[in-house]
Amino acid sequence: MIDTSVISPNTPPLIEDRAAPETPAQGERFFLLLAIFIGIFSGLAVVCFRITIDFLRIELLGSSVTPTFPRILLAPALTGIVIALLVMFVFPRVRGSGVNQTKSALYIYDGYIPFRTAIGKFICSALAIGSGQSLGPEDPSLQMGASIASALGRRLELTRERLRLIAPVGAAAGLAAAFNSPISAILFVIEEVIGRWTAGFLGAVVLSAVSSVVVSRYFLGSEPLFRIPAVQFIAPTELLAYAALGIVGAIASVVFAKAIQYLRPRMKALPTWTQFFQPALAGLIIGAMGLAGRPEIMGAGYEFMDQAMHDQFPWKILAILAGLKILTTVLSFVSGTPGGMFAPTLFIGAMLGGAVGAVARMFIPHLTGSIGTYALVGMGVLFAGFLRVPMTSVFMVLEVSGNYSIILPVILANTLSYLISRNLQPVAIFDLLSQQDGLGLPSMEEQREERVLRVEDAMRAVDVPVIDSQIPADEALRVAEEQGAAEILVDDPPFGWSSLTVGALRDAVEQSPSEPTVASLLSEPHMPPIHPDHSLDFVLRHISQWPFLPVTHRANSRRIVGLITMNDVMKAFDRSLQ
Amino acid sequence: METPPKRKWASRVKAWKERIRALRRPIYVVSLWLLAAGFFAFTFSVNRLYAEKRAHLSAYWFQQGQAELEQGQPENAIPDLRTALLYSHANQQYELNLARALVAANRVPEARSYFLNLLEEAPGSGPINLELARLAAKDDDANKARRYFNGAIYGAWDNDPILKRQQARQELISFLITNDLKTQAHGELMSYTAEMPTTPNAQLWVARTFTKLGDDRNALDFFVAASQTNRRDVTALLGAGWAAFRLGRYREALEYFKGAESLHEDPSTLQMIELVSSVIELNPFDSSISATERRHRLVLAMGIADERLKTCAGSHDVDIDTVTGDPLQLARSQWNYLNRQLRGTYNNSGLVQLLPPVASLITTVEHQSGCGPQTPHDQAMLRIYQGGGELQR
Repeated sequence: MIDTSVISPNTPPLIEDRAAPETPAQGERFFLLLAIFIGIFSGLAVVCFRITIDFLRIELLGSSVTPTFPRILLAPALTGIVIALLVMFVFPRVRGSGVNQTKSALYIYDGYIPFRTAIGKFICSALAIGSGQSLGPEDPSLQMGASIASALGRRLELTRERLRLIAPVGAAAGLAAAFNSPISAILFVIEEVIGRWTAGFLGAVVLSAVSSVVVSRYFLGSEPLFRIPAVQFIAPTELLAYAALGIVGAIASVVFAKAIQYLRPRMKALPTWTQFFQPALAGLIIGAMGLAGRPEIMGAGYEFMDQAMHDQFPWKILAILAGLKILTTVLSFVSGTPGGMFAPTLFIGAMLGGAVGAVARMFIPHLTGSIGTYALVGMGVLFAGFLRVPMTSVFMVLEVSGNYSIILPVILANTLSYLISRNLQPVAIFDLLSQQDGLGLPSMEEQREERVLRVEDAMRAVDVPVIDSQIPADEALRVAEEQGAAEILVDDPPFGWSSLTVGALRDAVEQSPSEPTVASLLSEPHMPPIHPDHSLDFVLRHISQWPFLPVTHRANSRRIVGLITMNDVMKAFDRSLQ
Repeated sequence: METPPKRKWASRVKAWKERIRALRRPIYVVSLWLLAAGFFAFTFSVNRLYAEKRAHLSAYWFQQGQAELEQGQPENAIPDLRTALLYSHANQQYELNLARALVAANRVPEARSYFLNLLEEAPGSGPINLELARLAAKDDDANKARRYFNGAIYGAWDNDPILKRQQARQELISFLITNDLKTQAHGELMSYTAEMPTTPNAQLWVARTFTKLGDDRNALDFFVAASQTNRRDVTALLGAGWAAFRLGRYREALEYFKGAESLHEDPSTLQMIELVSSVIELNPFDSSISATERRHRLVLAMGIADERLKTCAGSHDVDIDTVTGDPLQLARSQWNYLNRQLRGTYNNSGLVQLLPPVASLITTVEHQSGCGPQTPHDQAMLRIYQGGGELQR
C-alpha cells in the first residue's frame, strides 16, 4: 500500500511569478543575500534544536551519561506515546525522511514546505532523540533549514524558479550547522538533493552553509561533535585492513537498508491504532537494551563515538554496539518516530571501523594506525555504503579530521563499500523511502549512473554534396544533380556551415540574371557547431530548424566527421531503450 | 478641466503604492535584519541558560567522581567523570582525572588512550608525561618510560613545578634502579643532586639511593649532610656509619654509630659498635700503626683463624694435620706456612708483604660453611681481610 499523505502537502499553494520587474542581476543579488539570512536563521534554529535535545535528555533520562532504572525504560516508552499522538494529530507530515521532503519540494511542490513541518520536526525529533530513541538530529536540521528557506522564499515573493531552489539552499544550511561541516553539507545537497549545480545556486548554497556554521560555532563552539584523535596511515600494507573495512561496511550497510526496506512498509500496513504504540514499543525495546548494559545505543551517541575513537572499547564491544545500533535505528525509524539516520550511520561506521582496526592491530600491531583512524574511515564507509553519497563520504572524513594523510584509505574503503553495497542493494536508501512513500522523485544515483547519449552514437557518414560557398550557384546545382541529392551542405568560411535545397538552388539559377555564388543564397543564421561529444539533448535543441546538421572536428571546424538528422537522433534513443 | 478630487486621490494612492512597491526589497531586508536580531537574542539567552546548566552539571559530576576516586572507588568514579566530560568537552583536568581513574581501575589501555590524546593536545605537559611514564614503567618499556619521564622532568607544571620535576626525576631513578640500569640511574641521581632541595628527607633519599647504586662515597656525604641538617636524625647517622664502614673508614664509622647510639639505644647499633671497635683493634692494614703493632695484629688474626679452622675441622670431622687434599687441610698447611713466616718477620716491609697471603687465608677460612655461627671476632676478621691486602691511609 502506498501512503503519500504523510509526505505530500494536502494543499500546496499555487505559486505564481509575483516578482516585481527587476533585472536578472538584481534578482541574483537578492537571492544571495537571502541565502545568508537563510543560513543565519537555520543556524539559530539548529542551535536551539541541539540545546532542546540536551535539555530534554537531561530531564527525561537524567544528567548521567549512563541513565539508570526506571528512567532508562520509561522515558523512551512514555515519550514514544507522546510523539505518536503529536505525529498522528498535530504534525502528520513530520514522518519520513527530511531529505526526501526537501526533494519533493524541489521536484513536486515548487519549493513549498509548510513551516508547520519545521515546528513539528523540531518538537518531535527533540523529544525522540532526547528520550533515547536511536536517531540523529541532522536530518531534522536539514528539513528545518529547508522549511525556513521555503517560508522566507514565499514571503519574499521569489520567482517560481528561485522558490524551487530555495529549499535545498536551506537544507544545506541546516545540515551544515548540525554537522559543523560546511563542505560536507554543500556536497551532500548537491550530490543527493539537487543532483546538479550552477554558479548561482552554488553561491547561494555556500553562503547559506557558511553563515549557518558561523552562527552555530558562535554558540556551540568550533569543536567537532566528537574529538578527533591523531590520525595516521602507517604503511601501504595497512590498506588491506581498510579494504576489509570497506567490505564489512558494505555488508552492514546492506543489512541496515534491507531491514528498513522489509520492515517499514509492514509497520505502516498495520492497523492505524498500532501506530499510537509503535514509537513507544521501539522506545521500550531500546530502553531494555540500555538497561541490559548497552546504554551507548540510545540517542545520537556522539559521546560514545568519541569514546570509540579514543580506544575505549574492546573490539567485541564495538562490533556488538554496531549490530545493536543497526537494530535500534531500524526500530526507531520504521516505527515512524521522527529523526534522522545520519548520526546512527556515523555511529555504526565508527564502531565497525574501530572493531576492524582493533582486530587488525591484533594481527599486525606495528603496521596498524590508531583505532581513531579506523573509526573515522568507518564513518565514511557507512556514508558511502548506506546513504550512497560517495563524494560526500570522502570529503566528510577529510573535513572532520582535517588531515589529508588518510586520503588513500578513505578512498579505497569508501569506494569498495559503495560498489559492493550498490551491487547487493541496487536501490539507494533515499530512493527506497521515496518509492515506499509513492513519490516519483528522481534518483540522484541513477542520474549519475545514467548513460548520456552523444552525437557520436547517432551520426552517420556524409551523404550529401559538400559545396564551397564561393563557387557559382549553377556549378553547385550541377554537382547536386549529378549526385541526385535533394540538399547540399555549404562550407562558408569563416561563418560556418549552412545548407540549401536543390530546389532553392535551381530557382536562384533560373531567376537570377547574373551568375550568383552559393554564398549569396545562404540565409542567416548559420548552422550551430556540433561535435561528436555533444549530447543528443543539445542536438535536439537545434535540429528542428535544419534538415540535418554537420558534425565537425573540434580541432578543425571545417573538417566534417559526419551528419546527424532528427531521424538519427530518434533511432539512437530507440536503440538505447532496447 | 480640473481633475475631480476622487480621481486625484486615487492617483495619489496609486503613486504611493508604486513607491512602496519600489521600496519592497529594502523593507524586506530591514525586516529580515530585525527578525534575525530578535531570533539571535532569543537563542543567546537560551544558550546562556544552557551553558550555565552544563557548567553546573559538569562541576557536580566532577566533584562526585573525584570524591569516589579519593575513596578508592575508581569504577564508580569513571562514569561520573565521563559525565563531567560530557558537559565540558575540552576540560583537560577532567580528562586527566578520568584517565587516572581508569588507571586506578586497572583499565590501562583505555587510560593510555586518554593520556595519549591529552599529550597530543599538550605535548609539553609534565603531569601527562609522568602518567604515561608510569604506564610505560608498568609495561617494563624502558625506552618509552625514559622518554616520558624526561618529558615530565622538562615539561610544564601548573603548581610547584620545581618540586614536581624533582619528584619526576626521583621516580625515573627508582625505575632505572628497578630495571638494573644502574649507570643511567647514577647519572640521573647526580643530576638530581644538583637541583635537589636541602631537606633531610631529600638528602636521606639521595644517600640511600647512592647506597643502592653501590656508591658509598657519595652516600656517606649525603648521610653526613642529612645528619648535619638534622642533628637528631638517627637514620642519617646509622647510614653514615654503615657507609663509612663499607668504605673501610672505621674510625669515622665508629663515631657515627656511637652518635646514633647516644640518640637511640639499639642492640644492633651496639653490635656494630662492638664490631667496628674490633675491626679497628684488629686491623693490620692501618698505615699509621707501628711494625710491632702490625705484627701483633697479624698474630691475633692468625690465632683467630686457627680457632676457626679447628671449629670447622670438628664440625666436618676432618683431621686437618694430615694432608689429603681437603680444603680445610690445604688451609691448615697454608696457615702453618704463614705462621712460620710471621714468626721470622719483624720489619714493617716484611709484614706488609705478608698482608695479602694472610688476607687470602683468612677469607678462605672465614668463608668455610658448616662451621657454626661466626663470633664477633670472626665477623671483624672477614670485614678487615676480605677487602684485600693493601694498606689503608
